[in-house]
Amino acid sequence: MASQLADRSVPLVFAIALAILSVVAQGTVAHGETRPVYGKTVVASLLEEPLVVDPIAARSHTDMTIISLLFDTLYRVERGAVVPHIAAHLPDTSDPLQVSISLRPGIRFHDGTSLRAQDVASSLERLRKSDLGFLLEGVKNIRVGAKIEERQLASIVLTLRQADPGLARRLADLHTSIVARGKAPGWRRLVGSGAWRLHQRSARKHALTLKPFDDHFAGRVYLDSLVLNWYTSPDAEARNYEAGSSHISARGDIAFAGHQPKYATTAAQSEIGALAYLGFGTASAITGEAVFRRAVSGAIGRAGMSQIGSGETVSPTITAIPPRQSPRPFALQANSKVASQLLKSLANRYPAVEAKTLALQLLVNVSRPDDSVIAARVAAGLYELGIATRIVSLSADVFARRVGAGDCDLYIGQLAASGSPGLAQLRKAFVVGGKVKMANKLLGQSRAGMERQFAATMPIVPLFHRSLRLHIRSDVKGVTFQATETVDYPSIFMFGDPVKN
Amino acid sequence: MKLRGRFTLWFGLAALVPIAAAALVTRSIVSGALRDDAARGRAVSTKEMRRVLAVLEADVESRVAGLATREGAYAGGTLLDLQKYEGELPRESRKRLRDSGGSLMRQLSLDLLYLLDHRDRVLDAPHYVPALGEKAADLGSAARKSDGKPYYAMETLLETGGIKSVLVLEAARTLEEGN
Repeated sequence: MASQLADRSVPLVFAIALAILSVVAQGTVAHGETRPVYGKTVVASLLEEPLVVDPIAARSHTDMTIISLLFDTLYRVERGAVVPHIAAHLPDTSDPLQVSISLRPGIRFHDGTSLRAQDVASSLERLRKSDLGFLLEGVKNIRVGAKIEERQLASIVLTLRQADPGLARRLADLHTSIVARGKAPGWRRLVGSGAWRLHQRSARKHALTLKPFDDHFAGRVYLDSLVLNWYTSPDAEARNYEAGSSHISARGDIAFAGHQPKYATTAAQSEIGALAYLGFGTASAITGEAVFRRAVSGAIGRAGMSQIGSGETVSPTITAIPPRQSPRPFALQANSKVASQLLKSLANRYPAVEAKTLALQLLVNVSRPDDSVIAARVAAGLYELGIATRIVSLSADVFARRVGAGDCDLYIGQLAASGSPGLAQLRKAFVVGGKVKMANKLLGQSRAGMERQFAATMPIVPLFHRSLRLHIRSDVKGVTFQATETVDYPSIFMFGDPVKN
Repeated sequence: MKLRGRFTLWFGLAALVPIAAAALVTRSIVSGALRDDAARGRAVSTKEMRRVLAVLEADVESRVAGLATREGAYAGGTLLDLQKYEGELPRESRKRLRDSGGSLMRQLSLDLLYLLDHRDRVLDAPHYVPALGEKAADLGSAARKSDGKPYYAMETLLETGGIKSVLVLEAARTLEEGN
């Protein structure tokens, strides 16, 4: 009987087991499709050809994007709050003038070497002595500290002039990114500690390919590869996206009105991420005159600039302070009469002004296609002042070399939001305008004082602030922006197949 | 002076007077004829030029009249969009304008093309992107005053690498939504 029972029970148990297995199997499949999966390549874009990989030299949105991918900072800002990143905790401020910051253990650079406290101290010291030293103003000294706690965490100690409750937030600025031995990194043998490592950079293909850094302390990113393209014609990126050749586009989802992209699309928009400005070289003496710069600023019509771009928020401006911090309305229509009168005051020293024979060159980076339209608007303003302007489009490297050397009259530049609080952006505007000493002298000045100083010297002529509007293919998930308004690529993953339109 | 010398002098002088008189008469006849020819030529040229300009004026007038219709997608469609979206064109409409404006200008062999809204704000200017979104009160007022009749004006054009001012023959019209 027992044997009979046992015999009968076999198929029953087997059936139950099959049923359970079947439920488990079904559950697994369903569960797997709702979770991020590892693998695949995402093709996205940069706003221009990337040239800079040194966190301290980074100025444009593209520079900042690259830095955020390849390097790490001590802290990050997430949902408005400062959280430790490669730091183990928030700063220990038990002695407010000797702030100690412990580091997470086991952090490695892309070449496998350990990230040491000395790397952190040297990186911050290099920043302190750079043009952007004001980001660490109030820091008197940076040194490697003693091992902390029973876990023997490495640490650094910052000696401050006065208590600084905003220090952690400033140490989340991408300019404070940690580089090996505190030395300026270059493209050759590029080593960072970030979630991505450089795989290939092809100027010919206009593409930067990144691969995951498997030993990143925060874990491996989901994607197997990230390709970032840059473009030299205004509609090339939208065409690419419309045809389904890229996953994320920052310059529109369709090339022609009435079209639809090949795949279903969602959109995400950042806060203000960059400032477009008119910069000045040293090739002509007149461009160094603050009066000339004010006249030019007054002659440029900014009202129509809100139509530049491909649907992102564009806020015309006359100040470097982002609109969220500077909600005052500005006169955006050109005032050529006032501008001409201003310019006339230079006529005795510059006869070409009176004779209306002044001719200037305006340089444009060809890998930022929108800049040609901006340049045309600037040229139109200058034309009203009787100044002939020749717009010259240059490859990104030649543009950077000439602008860096001051070998130009005028150029169209871009300054990224760095995520630093307060008036850091205004001070950075002084730096990109070549007024480094002034940027560092502004310590302790009120906002009104700084703005007065800015208007008096006009290191650059701000044109508009812009956000980033991404068009995202339906199979790409997890697209968010960091506090620096750069795309948080490590959080992106692919899910399922794209939905055709 | 010897007799021979005096003879030579007096005969020379006697000969010079008629030669000079003949030359003056000849010059007067030749220059008169040339003046007449020039005046005739100028009159013919002026007449021809006026004829060509009249053709050109009629051409510009008719092209603008053809463009500024409620039936056409470029102006009529934009007018409808302005009404639909309470005076502010959405991005899609602006994109449509940009896509069509340049090719329309080339098809009609126009050197410049402005499309303004009721507040004289430039909605499209394929020949001169700096004007987009800016106010062009003079053009708006010309459209209201001239009612499509052609006139001459100085306009700025964007050329490779710079901006230049040129004399143009232009016509402007207004278009309204209604029954």
